[in-house]
Amino acid sequence: MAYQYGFDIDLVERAQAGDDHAREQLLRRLEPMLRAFFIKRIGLKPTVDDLIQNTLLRVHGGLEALKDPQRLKAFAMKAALFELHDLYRGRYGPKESLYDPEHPPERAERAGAPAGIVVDLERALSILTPRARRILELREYGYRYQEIAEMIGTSEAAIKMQVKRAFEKMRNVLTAVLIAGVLLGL
Amino acid sequence: MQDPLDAILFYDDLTPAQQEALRVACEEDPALAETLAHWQQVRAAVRRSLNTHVPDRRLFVLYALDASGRAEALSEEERRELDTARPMLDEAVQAHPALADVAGQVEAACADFEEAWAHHFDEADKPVRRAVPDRAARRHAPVRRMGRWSWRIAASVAVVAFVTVLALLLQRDRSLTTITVAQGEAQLIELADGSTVRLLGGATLTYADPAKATAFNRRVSLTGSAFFDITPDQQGFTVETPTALTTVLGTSFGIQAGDDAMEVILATGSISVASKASPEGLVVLQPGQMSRVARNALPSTPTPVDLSEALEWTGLFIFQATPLGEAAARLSERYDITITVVPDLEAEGVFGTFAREQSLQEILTTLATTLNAAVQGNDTDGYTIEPAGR
Repeated sequence: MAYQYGFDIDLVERAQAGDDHAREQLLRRLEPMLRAFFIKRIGLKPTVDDLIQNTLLRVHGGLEALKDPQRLKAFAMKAALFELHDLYRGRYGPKESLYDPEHPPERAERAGAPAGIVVDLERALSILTPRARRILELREYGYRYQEIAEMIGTSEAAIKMQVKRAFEKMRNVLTAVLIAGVLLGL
Repeated sequence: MQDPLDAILFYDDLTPAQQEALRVACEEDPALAETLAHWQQVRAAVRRSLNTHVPDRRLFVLYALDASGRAEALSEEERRELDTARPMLDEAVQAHPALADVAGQVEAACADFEEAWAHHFDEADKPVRRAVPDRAARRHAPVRRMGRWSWRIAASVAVVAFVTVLALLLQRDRSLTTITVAQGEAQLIELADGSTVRLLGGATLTYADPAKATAFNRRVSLTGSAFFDITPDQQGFTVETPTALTTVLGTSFGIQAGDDAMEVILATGSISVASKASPEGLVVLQPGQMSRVARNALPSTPTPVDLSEALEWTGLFIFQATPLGEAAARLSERYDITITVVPDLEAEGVFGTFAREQSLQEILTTLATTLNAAVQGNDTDGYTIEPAGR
């Protein structure tokens, strides 16, 4: 039996050739490894179940296109990483926002900010310290405050305090710009 | 309620009751609503900037893999893609301090993956590679065995659950049916869950064959134009087109889907529409609204449409709170038969979706029944709709 990185290559080849049993075996064998990986990265069971299922779907769907069966490990790793980053991307979508369902948040994001405000926002963001901007960006990338705290090596409470300070600082700039606009008759 | 600013900034930490309280507070307090709007704009600006520099996170993962010395994990095609995108990604890392952290997280995730792989395969499948435990490890052997058995029990449970999903996956591939309707024709297709799809000329639909129904019978793929009437179900129903995903619970709607754009018009119920490229940027449609999704773009803001005109192409009569007098006028014009509605009923709203092949009497009787009215007459002399028992 041929092995690559500990995985039975014959099994991969049979699965690629359309052997349903081999494909089932292959995916069943990947499942506990993916579970261990996602639990370590994410830890939440319902989310982990979804991530595993979606990763296996990626493997299932892409297996036939895998040119070299010996690259299964890299292939599965990329599938798991892509799933993880899809999760981050979807974490703070419109569903979390506190809006009247009659007025979906996408309106606030796209239609609610006139051109002048967009420019002012850029200005407000530019006054932030690199650390504060880094925190806001990580949050919008999809990481939780707890995860950001671990990355930066501080506590979640400290991260939240920085977010609050950063927003208050930006709000002052935005308010000042709006008042100036009113005084100038804009 | 806690500090309202904290509640706005850390909204997802709140309980559902606290979230509702904040929503009400924002409705009652304009200053609070303005704070919320500012925070939302700040977040949107940060997100917009990130998405502009990193439109495809998959490429950024490949970039981080390459940067962590794992270039061999990339296929040739991925390397080419990355080479093209590299200048833009280099610039993105310069512009956004957080991206260095994200790349670091990718590297850490790779290390975790490699560790999990080694634990499950290098040890399990290659006994020759398994190291002989040293003395210190042997001292802990009983503990390790217990850990391993408990892990095996947990894994067995997980595998049993997963086998079901897997069997369904394989079954799904075998049970999918694809149908294409010839130009100029229309075909009504009944799905396994009782939902119906009116497929218009040139359209192609892939769906689970009702005779081989699986757990995947609430998802279809469409290219072309079709009108869906979906049976309510908590599981939801998804229509996949080349550019978008439309998800519903129970509703009726029309879709015209090409390779580069699709347009959806909602007749009844509620649906959400998202771009396949950015699934988080979804919009929710109310009856009588339309949204369009172009390739790699967010769905357009829902806009109101005249359902009768907008769904003319379906070949259906769609009435959604349509005044009976107006509905009767449309039917009269289509069938060229006089229809009289007594003045008391003219303004009453009627609901229903009817195929044009249905007889006029059948349609009128259905509409009249919903208003507790009756239909008199025939195709030759014309029809009258009046209150029942008159």
